[in-house]
Amino acid sequence: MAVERKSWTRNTLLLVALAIAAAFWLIPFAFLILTSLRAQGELLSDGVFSWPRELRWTNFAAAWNVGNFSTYFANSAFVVALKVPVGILVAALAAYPLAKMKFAGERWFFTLFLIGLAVPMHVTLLPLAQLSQKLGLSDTLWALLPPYIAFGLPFQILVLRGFFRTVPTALVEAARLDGCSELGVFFRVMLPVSKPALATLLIIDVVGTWNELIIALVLLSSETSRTVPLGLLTFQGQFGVKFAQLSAAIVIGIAPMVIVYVIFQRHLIAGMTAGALKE
Amino acid sequence: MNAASNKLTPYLFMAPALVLFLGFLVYPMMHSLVVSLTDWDGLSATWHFVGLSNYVTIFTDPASRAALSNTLIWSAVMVTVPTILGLGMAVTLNQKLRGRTFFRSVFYGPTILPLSAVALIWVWLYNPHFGLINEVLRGIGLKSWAKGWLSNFDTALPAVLVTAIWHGAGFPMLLYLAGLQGVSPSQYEAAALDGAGPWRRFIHVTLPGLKETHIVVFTLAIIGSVRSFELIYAMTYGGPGRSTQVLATWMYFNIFQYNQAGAGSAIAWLIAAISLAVTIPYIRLMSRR
Amino acid sequence: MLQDFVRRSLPFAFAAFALSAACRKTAPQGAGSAAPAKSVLRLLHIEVGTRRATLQDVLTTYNAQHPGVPLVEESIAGGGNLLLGDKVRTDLAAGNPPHLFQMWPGEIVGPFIDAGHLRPIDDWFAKYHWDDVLIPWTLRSVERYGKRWAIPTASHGMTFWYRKDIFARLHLTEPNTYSELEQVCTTLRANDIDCISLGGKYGWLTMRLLDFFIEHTCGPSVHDQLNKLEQDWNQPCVVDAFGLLVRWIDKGWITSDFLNVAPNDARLPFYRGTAAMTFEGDWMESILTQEDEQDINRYDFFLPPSDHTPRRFCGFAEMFAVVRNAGNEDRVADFLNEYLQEAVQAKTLAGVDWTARRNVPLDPAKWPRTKKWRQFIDNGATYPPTDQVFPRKVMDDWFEIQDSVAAKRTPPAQGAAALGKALDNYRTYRAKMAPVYEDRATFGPQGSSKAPAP
Repeated sequence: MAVERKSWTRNTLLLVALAIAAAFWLIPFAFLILTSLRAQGELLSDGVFSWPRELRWTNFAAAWNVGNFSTYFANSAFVVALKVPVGILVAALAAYPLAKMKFAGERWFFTLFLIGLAVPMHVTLLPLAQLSQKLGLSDTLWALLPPYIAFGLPFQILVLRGFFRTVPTALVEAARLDGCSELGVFFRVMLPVSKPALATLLIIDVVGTWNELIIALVLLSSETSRTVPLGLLTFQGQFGVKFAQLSAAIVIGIAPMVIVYVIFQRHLIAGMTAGALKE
Repeated sequence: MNAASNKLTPYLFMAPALVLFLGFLVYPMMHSLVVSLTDWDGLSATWHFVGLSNYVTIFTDPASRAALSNTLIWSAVMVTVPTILGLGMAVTLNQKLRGRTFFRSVFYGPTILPLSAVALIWVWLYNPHFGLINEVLRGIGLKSWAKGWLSNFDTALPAVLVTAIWHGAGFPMLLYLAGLQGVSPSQYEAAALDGAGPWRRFIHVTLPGLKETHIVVFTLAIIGSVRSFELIYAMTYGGPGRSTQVLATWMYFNIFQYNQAGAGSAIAWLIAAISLAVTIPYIRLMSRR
Repeated sequence: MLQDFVRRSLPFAFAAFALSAACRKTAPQGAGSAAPAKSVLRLLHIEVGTRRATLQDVLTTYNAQHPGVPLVEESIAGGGNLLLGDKVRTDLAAGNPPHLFQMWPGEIVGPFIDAGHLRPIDDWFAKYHWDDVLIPWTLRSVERYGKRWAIPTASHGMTFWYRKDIFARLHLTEPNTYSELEQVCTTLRANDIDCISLGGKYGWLTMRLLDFFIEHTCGPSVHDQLNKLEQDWNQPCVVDAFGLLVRWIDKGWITSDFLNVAPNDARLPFYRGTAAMTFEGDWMESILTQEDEQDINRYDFFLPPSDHTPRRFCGFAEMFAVVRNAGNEDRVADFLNEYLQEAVQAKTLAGVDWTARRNVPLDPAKWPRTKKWRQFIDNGATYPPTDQVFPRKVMDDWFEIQDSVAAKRTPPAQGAAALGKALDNYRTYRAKMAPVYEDRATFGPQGSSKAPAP
């Protein structure tokens, strides 16, 4: 009895603490959404944190129609749909030997990938622009894929190598004894047991790719090839910013991310695919 | 499978990654390494080799040194606070708790926002004239605490750090949550049977069980914070004065604003060197089997 | 289990592709094939919204009336107006240059000229007689090394805008002398209203108020000499200007803690009426009415009371810079000539606040404040904003000093001394580099065979 009450009290306190923290965490979101529904004039005259006099739902339609948001959306979706699965697969392929095989230069290769993680993106812009011009990819969405994948690799290899290392070697050996090729071990054992890590990477990568601005700015030019972050610039003019519409556009822009998160978050904690490790 | 193909296997697995990585990351990096040894302005077709003088300048120029020291402060905070916060959230929300999915989503939420959006809202929260933070402080009778958070030389960097923590804590939380799935429940049961309390179970079971995750989280925290750019660029633009310049914004200013691509590239390599000097030995140490 | 993962991932991939397909109104040009090389003439600019629509309209009309390689505009907006420069730089370096790009005078466009990337277009000026119609002071701002590198496309003036309703309520009138301006501020403060709302982020708005103080304390001719580095910046009238900045802060005339408030956010206290003035340009009318949904009858401006004759204000041009060797030169020249015609300029003036032509017709009923501005801009005397006079690196030194004085970390005298030192260094550097720059400007990025050594 006493133990139960103690745990009940503890849980309640924990919940209260979490609720307070969550409220703080949500305040900026709340105002982002509120701002997206306000009239620009009233927002500026009354102050950003004032009580709204009217809610202007047309901001969303206006934001969608300013520029070519449907095109930006389609382009971003195209890039994400290609980049994320291909990038994670390439990273996983590289991470597997780094975690589970012994070979000459193992440490050297891993360090090489790590160095890539430390490179600030801005110094690579010029060579990347020259490269995409030489490859004839300038101003096409294809131009984004190689650098996006390359910049994603170091992080993904680091995460997946770490996760693969936690997979018991016995499991890998057993699969090899069963006659699996290394590719078979990779696809039948490593990938399936790594579902939480893969889901984590997928969520992170979708968000990162969807929001990437600076490489897209440099490699893309024409209106028809632009992505969502470039589209958000459409609300920030030389002398003024359409704050309400910009906020509406941001809300529209993060909606797909919220959906991806909701779909995949279940896999984050999927419990290491139950039996796999215990067998 | 014969021995030769066995030997080749690891390299074949890495081949696609290596091709992309060498072509689109290592090549541009090497390009910038060469540029860092020149006086190139980033625009003209000619340049001269100047040896290591761009690197020397970083340590002799007061503005660069200030950016370096801000980066160290920034990194020290960003490596510890969001990590501890994220670990705490992960451990808490890994328990069976009402609404844990909701709380996870809330704490992870900021990471899906583009940083320009984060800056937009937080700059308003901090605004000295209509910002919510000052309004609340005045409302609860702490009028003297209200200030121009981003305009004040002493509070500007800490204020941006608070935003960065808000934005960044969900990331280690997510990684730790994934890592916690790998800590086998039997170890907890064994520890509990030995009479270990929650705190000791955390120290002796959870922390060691997250070894691989620690590697990832710390490495990313160090590297991410040393090259951190967008929030400072968007929220303070290095100001007031140059009081919030960090190495990454200083690099950008040099390359794109000051026509000193050589100097900027040298800063980029200093950024890489600092983060690698910390992370590579750390990873080596932690990766001993 | 892999199948399980794939099964769950596939819908996501399909959904993304479906979204990609469904959203696309036209053929996926960006995704499909490589863009046809050099089939368009690119104009890079920074405008968005209805302002951009005006430009698009101008280009569409031109393309329809003058068949040939089409001119297209690309808007590179956002990020404190800095992304445009970043984009132009990388495009130039990658060998994918735009044909024309919007830029600002002096040391902002300067590096592009110094690196040999712009084409001198004095021949076009001679051929089309643009001098006859353009405002003289805007012509000076497209000159460097005695040549012209761009056409001026806009001419702006900046000064004090004020709230007519607040002035009327407190029986205030537009000040004609500096001491009257101080009187206005004193009255406003006594009524618990900030005299001026300022946004110090990026440094340049604080600088424009300081520029006004320098114009007042040093006078027009010394101010000009300072900008030409013919006078030492470490001198009493500069100390006095810094002193005025501190005075305005101490008296509570400037909104508190303004140093890192973005210029756009500084408009809020002004709209709210907690501040009675702000420092803005002629574009303010279109911002007030088209973007920020304010009542123009509440707002007006007066020229800065510098106590000097002529009563100069801060003025600057914008330009279309012409890229060297970008191809199709004749068409570019023809377009620029067409663009500068009165009918087109009337359109851009009403739509983007853009013209550098004199006496461009404008509907005074629709644009009362802009109409009033044009008479000053067409005929008035201007001084350039300092951030166009000196390069970015020097300006960042300047901003650091200015912010430090404003935050009272540096006394005015010390600030002027620091400024003097920074600009002395720049004078030396400039003298050393000028021959190299001029050589590259004249002969292209490689310079001539007998390029002077730096």
